[in-house]
Amino acid sequence: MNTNENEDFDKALRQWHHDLSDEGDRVERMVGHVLSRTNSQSQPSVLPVQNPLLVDGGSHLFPRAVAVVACGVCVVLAGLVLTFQFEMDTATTSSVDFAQMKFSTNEITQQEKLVCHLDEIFEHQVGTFYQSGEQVSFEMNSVSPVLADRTCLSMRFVLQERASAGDWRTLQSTGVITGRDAQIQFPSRDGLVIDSWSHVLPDDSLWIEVGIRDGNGQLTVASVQCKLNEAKQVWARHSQRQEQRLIVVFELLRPCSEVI
Amino acid sequence: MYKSELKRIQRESQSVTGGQGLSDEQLVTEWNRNHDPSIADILARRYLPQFWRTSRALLGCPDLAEDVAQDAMVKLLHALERFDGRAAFRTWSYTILINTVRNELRRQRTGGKHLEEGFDVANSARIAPVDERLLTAEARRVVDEALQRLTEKQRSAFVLMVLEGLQASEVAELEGCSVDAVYQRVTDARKLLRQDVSLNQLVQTK
Repeated sequence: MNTNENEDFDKALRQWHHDLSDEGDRVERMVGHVLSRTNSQSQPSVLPVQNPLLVDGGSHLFPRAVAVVACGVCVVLAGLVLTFQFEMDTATTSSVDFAQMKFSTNEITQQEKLVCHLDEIFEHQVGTFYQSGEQVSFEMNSVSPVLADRTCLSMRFVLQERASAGDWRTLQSTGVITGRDAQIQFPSRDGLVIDSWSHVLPDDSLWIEVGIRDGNGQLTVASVQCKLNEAKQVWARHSQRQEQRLIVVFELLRPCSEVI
Repeated sequence: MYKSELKRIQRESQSVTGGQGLSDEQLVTEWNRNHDPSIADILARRYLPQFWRTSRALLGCPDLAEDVAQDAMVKLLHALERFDGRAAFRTWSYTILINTVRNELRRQRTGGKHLEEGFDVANSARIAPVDERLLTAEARRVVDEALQRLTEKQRSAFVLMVLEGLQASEVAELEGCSVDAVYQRVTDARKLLRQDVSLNQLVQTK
């Protein structure tokens, strides 16, 4: 096969390929949908703020009542299973070193087992799993389940503060297990609302973007690229006598087929 | 979407002319300055056709590709504020698209439809929307089938580099591999495609 033949072959395929975008009606329809969705999601809030236990509105296959009861059962189960409770979660005392925020091997193993249990119990309907302190909750999503038999993303968000260059103290630590590409929102104890968009890149690093809205509605955004299991500060703010920062660390969980 | 809403958006987009000549990076700068919806409109019109045909080639299913292209575009628009210019905008945008496609491929695998292991391409083609013109529908089915016979890596490299015209270095960045590996995948893909009798007949009639 000579170069000219290759070029002709490529050219013909490219022609077919580009003919696709001549479908004006389809493109017009897509543009309309995208702009409509973008406008309606000007605040990328996809998760519950007050009560994280949520059944996806499009989840007709999984009745809400069943989901709520099943979630209750599963919360108990999760409570028993979860030995990976965040030790620093209720810590409003000591400073926490970045290294301590990493996931331990045992913690990851427990999370992988938990995800697989949930996946089995809820027949691949679980979308996102949250853990903050002793509260465990999850979102059902039959339209686009993300905790099925594939690699999941486990993230830990740690919000800290300190006064006058003193020791950092942890206000809140929230664990989220979700898909490799996720938009989430959760409230902090300090009145902040934290939006996050995370995206696993081809090299298995994580690109995470956060938007943090304070009680006055003021929004600040930040983004950072993280390596596996390496805690990284993603956001910080300073007031007169107080500093706050948000640290994130993530790990990739193995798919259930490799866990069980 | 309601027709009236679609018409409204179309009307608004027709009034957008000022930004049409701007580069992607200039549009992002404009967006960050005033969040003018017309900027989102221009970017959507500029990138959705690319997103659509790329995801169609990678996924082999028109309806699914449409959903994936839209999802990727929404993510891109939401992330515009955080585009830092370290990579070219096109590479950055394709990163979002390719990751969205990969997520969909993973979801399909868990649902039992592994594209590389017994994915019923013929059946997939049958669910194509009926609004496609009949003559081109058959040709597209042949192209889709041939592409779906490639491995995921070969298909991705071939579609991005040969069909979409990305640089080998850009594809290497997107795929997380070396430039040499990209060339090798494209060569292997082309070799397999050239062996496809139906596709070759189609190419010769073009």
